[in-house]
Amino acid sequence: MLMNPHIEQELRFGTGEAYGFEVLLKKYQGRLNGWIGYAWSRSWRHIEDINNNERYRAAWDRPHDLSFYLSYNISDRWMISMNWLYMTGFAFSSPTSFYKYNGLTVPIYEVKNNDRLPDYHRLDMNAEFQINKKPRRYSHKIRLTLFNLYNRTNPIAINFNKTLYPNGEPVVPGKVYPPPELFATQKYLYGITPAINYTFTFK
Amino acid sequence: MTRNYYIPSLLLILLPLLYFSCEEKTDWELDTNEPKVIVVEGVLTNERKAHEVRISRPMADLNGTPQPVSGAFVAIWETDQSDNNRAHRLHEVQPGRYITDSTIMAVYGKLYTLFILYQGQEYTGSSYMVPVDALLPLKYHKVPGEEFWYELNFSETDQPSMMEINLNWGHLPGFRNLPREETRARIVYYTVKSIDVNKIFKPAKERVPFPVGTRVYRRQYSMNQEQEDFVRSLMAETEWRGGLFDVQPGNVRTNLSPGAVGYFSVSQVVADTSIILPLP
Repeated sequence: MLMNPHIEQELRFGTGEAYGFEVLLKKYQGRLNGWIGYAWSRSWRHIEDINNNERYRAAWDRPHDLSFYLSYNISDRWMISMNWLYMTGFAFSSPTSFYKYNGLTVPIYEVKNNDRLPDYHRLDMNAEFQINKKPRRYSHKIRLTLFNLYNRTNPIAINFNKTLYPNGEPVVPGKVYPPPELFATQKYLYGITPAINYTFTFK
Repeated sequence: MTRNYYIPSLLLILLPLLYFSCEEKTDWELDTNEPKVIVVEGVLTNERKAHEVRISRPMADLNGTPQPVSGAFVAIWETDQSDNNRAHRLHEVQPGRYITDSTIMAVYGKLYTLFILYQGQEYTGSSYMVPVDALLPLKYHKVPGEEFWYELNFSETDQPSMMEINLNWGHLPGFRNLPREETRARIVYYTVKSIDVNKIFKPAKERVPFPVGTRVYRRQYSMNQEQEDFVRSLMAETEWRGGLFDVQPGNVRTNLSPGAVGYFSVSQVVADTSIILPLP
């Protein structure tokens, strides 16, 4: 894109449309705190020359979005919390057919963002410890988090161009003869992931 | 002391979890159909030989077999700079496989137009020939840990090009009785001169090892600017798809009129044959 001297010709202009509603219930009193939020929304785009000039759903059109947060203050210095997220999967374009060109299997797309990734959900757990006993001029805390506690595979992309290497690793075929057997593969960012966070705050 | 070791130990236990495979096979249900477009693969070169155009239908299955398109009228028009035309009719020798006679060869300065008439629908596509770079010396290296197995080194040409490499080791002792699929390989390697982030961070590619004594037949095709653009979009949907930075999925370009996909190309070709000799 940076090297393209006619970048203006590559730009497409259009309109977007989004609507929905959101509710939130929260409790911030006592040792047990938390909130639950739900949003229903839709997001569409209409751009000339894209999707045969027809309206299509935006990639981030995720109708259902539910989040839940709970925390418990065990003592003045210790707190544990958890949050659970659930979202409809991103919209993406999946092939509706394929053709062979010079040994390569080429996808054909008929409708933009016609498919959806699996729903996204994960549970995170946190344990937070206030290091100084009586925070006056400053406070510092350490927090241990386990993201995606139940190790959910949340795909970020689905591809249809890989073959399986003898060690089971998906790779792009290196030869066009013999014709490779292709598979759908899913990519995801991480499974269960630990994190340590240190925070220093001046009062 | 015990407390000091606790956190690093925990980290060491959890660290491998970060390296879980980021890509895995999945069963994905596609909502497929068989569109009414035709798929055209046509290559005209500067060689005096019968040139071939293949016409087929798209497949609903990722590993399907394309159905040939039979009974089409296929011709190539050559037009010089004075607008003189000459037509060459192609004949169907097998279902979906159409060839010219051996009198046609591409030359510089002429425009070649492929014309297809099928079920009352006309399809056309035009291209022209540009010079090809000289073949670079064949380079290869040993497969790590294997004494007599090698892999090719791929290097880009100065100008956009397509390299087609046929490897054959079926004549070697110990391989003669093996099925053809186990003793031959065809590799296609493209040079496009654009700077694309999905090309830079393309996904891992299968390695193709072959034994010492393998016959290597290379053909290098020139590509004009329009064909380079086509190949760039072709790579974005095939070899470069699934890397660290992907582009939005989209249909591959074509130089054919609406209702057809694929490409009709005109190329200059250089070729050579080599034998893989042992490296010191």
